[in-house]
Amino acid sequence: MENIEFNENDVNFQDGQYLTFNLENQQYGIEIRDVTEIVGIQQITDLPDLPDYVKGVINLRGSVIPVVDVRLRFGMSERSYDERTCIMVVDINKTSVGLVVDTVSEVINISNDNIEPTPKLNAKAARNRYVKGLGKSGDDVKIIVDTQKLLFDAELDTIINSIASDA
Amino acid sequence: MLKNLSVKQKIYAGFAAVLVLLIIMSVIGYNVIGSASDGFNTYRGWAKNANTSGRVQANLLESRLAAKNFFINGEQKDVLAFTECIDKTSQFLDEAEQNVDIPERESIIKKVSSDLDDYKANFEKVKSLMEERGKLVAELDTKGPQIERSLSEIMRTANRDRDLEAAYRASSGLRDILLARLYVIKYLEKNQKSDYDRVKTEFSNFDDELTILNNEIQNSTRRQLLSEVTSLSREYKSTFENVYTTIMTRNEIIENKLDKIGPEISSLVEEVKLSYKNDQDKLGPELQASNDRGIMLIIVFSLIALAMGVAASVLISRPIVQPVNELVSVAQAVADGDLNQSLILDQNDEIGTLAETINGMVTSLKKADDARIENDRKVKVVLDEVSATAEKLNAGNISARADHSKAEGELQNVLTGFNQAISAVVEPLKVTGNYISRISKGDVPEKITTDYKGDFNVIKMDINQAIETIGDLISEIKVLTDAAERGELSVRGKSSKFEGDWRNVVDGINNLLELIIAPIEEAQGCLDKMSAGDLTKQMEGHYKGDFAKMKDALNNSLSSLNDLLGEVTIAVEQVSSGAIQVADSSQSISQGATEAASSLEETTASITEISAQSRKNAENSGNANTLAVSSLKSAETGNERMNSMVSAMNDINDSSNEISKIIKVIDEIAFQTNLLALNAAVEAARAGAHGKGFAVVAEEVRNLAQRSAKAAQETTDLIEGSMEKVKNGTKIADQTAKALNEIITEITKVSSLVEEIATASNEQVSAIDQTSSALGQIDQVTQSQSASAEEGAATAEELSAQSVQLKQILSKFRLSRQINGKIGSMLKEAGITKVAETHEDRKTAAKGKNNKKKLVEEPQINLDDDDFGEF
Repeated sequence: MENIEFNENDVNFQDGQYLTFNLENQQYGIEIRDVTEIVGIQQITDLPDLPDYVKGVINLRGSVIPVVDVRLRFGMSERSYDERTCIMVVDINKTSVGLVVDTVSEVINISNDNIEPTPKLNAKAARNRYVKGLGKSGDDVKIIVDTQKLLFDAELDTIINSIASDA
Repeated sequence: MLKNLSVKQKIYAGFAAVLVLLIIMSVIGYNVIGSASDGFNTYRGWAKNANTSGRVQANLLESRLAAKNFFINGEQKDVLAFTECIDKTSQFLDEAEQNVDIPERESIIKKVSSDLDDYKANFEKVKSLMEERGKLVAELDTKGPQIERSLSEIMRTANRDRDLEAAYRASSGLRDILLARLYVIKYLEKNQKSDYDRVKTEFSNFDDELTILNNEIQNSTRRQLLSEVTSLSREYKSTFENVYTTIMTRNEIIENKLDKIGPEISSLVEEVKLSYKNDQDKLGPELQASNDRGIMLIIVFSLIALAMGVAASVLISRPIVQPVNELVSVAQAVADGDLNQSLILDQNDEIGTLAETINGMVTSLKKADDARIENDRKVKVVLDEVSATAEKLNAGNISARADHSKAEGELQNVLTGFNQAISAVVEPLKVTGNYISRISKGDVPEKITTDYKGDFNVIKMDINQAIETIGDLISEIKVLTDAAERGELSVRGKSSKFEGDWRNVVDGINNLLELIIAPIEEAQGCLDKMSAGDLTKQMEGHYKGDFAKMKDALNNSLSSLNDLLGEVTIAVEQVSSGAIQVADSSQSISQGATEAASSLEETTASITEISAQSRKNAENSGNANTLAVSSLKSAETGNERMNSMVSAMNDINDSSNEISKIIKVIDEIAFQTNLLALNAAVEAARAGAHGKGFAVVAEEVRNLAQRSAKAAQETTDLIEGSMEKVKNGTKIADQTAKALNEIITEITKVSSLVEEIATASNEQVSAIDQTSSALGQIDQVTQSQSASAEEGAATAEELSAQSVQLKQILSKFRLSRQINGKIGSMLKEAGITKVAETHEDRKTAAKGKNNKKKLVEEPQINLDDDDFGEF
């Protein structure tokens, strides 16, 4: 409870709230406004001729949504799914996409003051393009992921659109 | 007709016919080949002429071609080629003229020759015209440009002086003159009349221009130039006219002469060639036909000659070969002995004569053979009769005689003589046979009284002598047999009464008697001595045959008796010494048996002790076996318990697994709860300020979920620990079970060993029992042995006494010296003397030692050599 600080005056309560999740041993966060819900891992139907990071589609209460393995999207090594593996269903611009992550942790508050921009390291770190900033929370640093960029890359766009239209 | 010809004549006639045909064929062949050869020569000449005409034609064409080339190009080399070809044509034409054969062709060739000359002359004309034209054209080529240059000068200067009218006219003139020259060149090229007319027109134009110029030009220089132009143009025009004339003339010559004469020559030559060809075409088939006719003639004549040759050979050979073959078969038959052959030939030649001669020869041979056969038959009758008679005689029928009536003529005498010779031999033989027959039957007849002659009388006297001698011998032998019947073996025959072998017979009988008597007498002596107990005398005379056998038998029985009695003596000695030894042995056995009895008692005591110990052993091992079995049971029980413990542990393990499954479910529930809490948190956040309370609840739920997850994790760890421990326990229990199993195996082994020991001990006990009973039996045997030994000693004493008695009986016989020696040595070998010496000491010692033994008093036997001498 102490992680969540409520501001009575703040009309836009959703700003500054992040859902955190783990990949490998690193914690990441996405803005809560993008999140629809969190479900456990379930049967993924593979589709042919997709990039490797798009694992296929799942049937979520009657609606078919594409599933992206965030590890593969970030260029990390693949990890076999277990019972702790979760799918975060995000919704942006009316499009639902499942993001497969190792585990989901919690919902925390990070004020904009505590978010720092990404250090300008050499440009080769390609995954920086998905990173919005680095959020400080206590002693930890959470990598804030730009869901928009993660999902609406030009390539992914078409795939998602195609699946969505098929569905 | 042929039959009347001799063989020689036939052969000559045949060959003559064949030779005539050969000559005819040669003549025909010569003629055919000769006519073919002539035809071929003619044909060849025509072919050559046709060929020459062809060459004329070819060269002419070539020269015409050269002429054409010259007309077109005007070059000198074409002239040279023309000259060469035309020369050649003339040459071949001359050749053809020489070879020509008929006047028709000669006239044509002459025409050709004149035409050719004409052609040559015309060509020369054209050639000179061509040369002239060349010169004129060269003139035109110099004047033309001069006119042009002058006109150009006029035009230039007029233009310079601004005399435009003059300049214009000059340039117009220039154009006209250039056009005129162009058409001149065209005319030279093509020789067309139109070009010539155009040149004329251009020149009239030019002249007009010149007239105007002449009026226009004021300048002196230009005027001078104009007059030059005018004169030059006049010259040019006249030259062109000349050229025109020349060319016209030339063309006319070419057109009307050369182009007419050339083909004419060609066609004439062709005509000549064709006439040759026609002749050839006619001659060729004619020759072919005549050749075929010749060949046909030759073939026909060859066939006729062949047929005639075959016919002649058959006609000549048949009358020779056939009779000769017949003659050969006749001669062959005669050689084989058939003389009934004859050969009739209706021929007057040498063969006919030969056949008649052979017939004569066969007739003579037949006559001689008939005579020989008759003679052979007569002789055979006689020989058969003789042979039959001889066969009968050989068979023993001495009364058989030959039948002389069967023979003819002188041969009857031969058979009569033969019969007489047989009779002379047979009569005395019959008498002699009769006598010998009677003698052999034992009927000695009276002497023969009939008189015989010669050798037959000698035979009669010999027979009489034999009858006498046999009578004497029979009476002498009767005397001897009568004496023998009476037992008087001393009576002897009188041998002096007989001679030769008859004397030997009587002497033999006497000797026989002597030989029988001598051995019988000697045997009688020996047997007399034997009955007195003297066995030393033997038969010593030298006898033969059955007497020798009798002597050997007597002597053998004597020596057998000697040996027997000697051996009996030795046996008696051995028996007496053996009896003494038996007595001794029996005594020592008796003593040994007593000692054995005492030893046996000691042994029996020891064995009884061993038996007791063995029994105890068996008892102990039985106890040990019982103990081993009970410990085996204990070990098995332990093993069973261990197994149930292991199964209990497995049950614990299974339960633990169940628990861990349940905990997994709890963990799963905690995870789901956590997810729900997070979703709730998300919803709360999205609800903004209104979701605050909800967020708090969600957080609480999340904490609870995390706590239950943690508790589940801890429980899992604990269960895993206990499972590990159970695993260890199971491992240890397994090892213990294994150890217990080993113990069981060992105990089983120990138990079986102990059982074996017990069995062995029991067996030992029974074996020892058997041993002690055996010892009891041995004791009994020993006792009975002792008694038997004593009985044996008594029997031995008795035996000794009986042997002394036997010795006394034996001493009555006097044995040969040789046997006595043998007995002595044998006794010495056996050591009987020594035994006899020590006998007394031993006897007394035995008496002292054992009072139970009874000893029979034994007479002493002295067997020294000296004692033997007393017998």
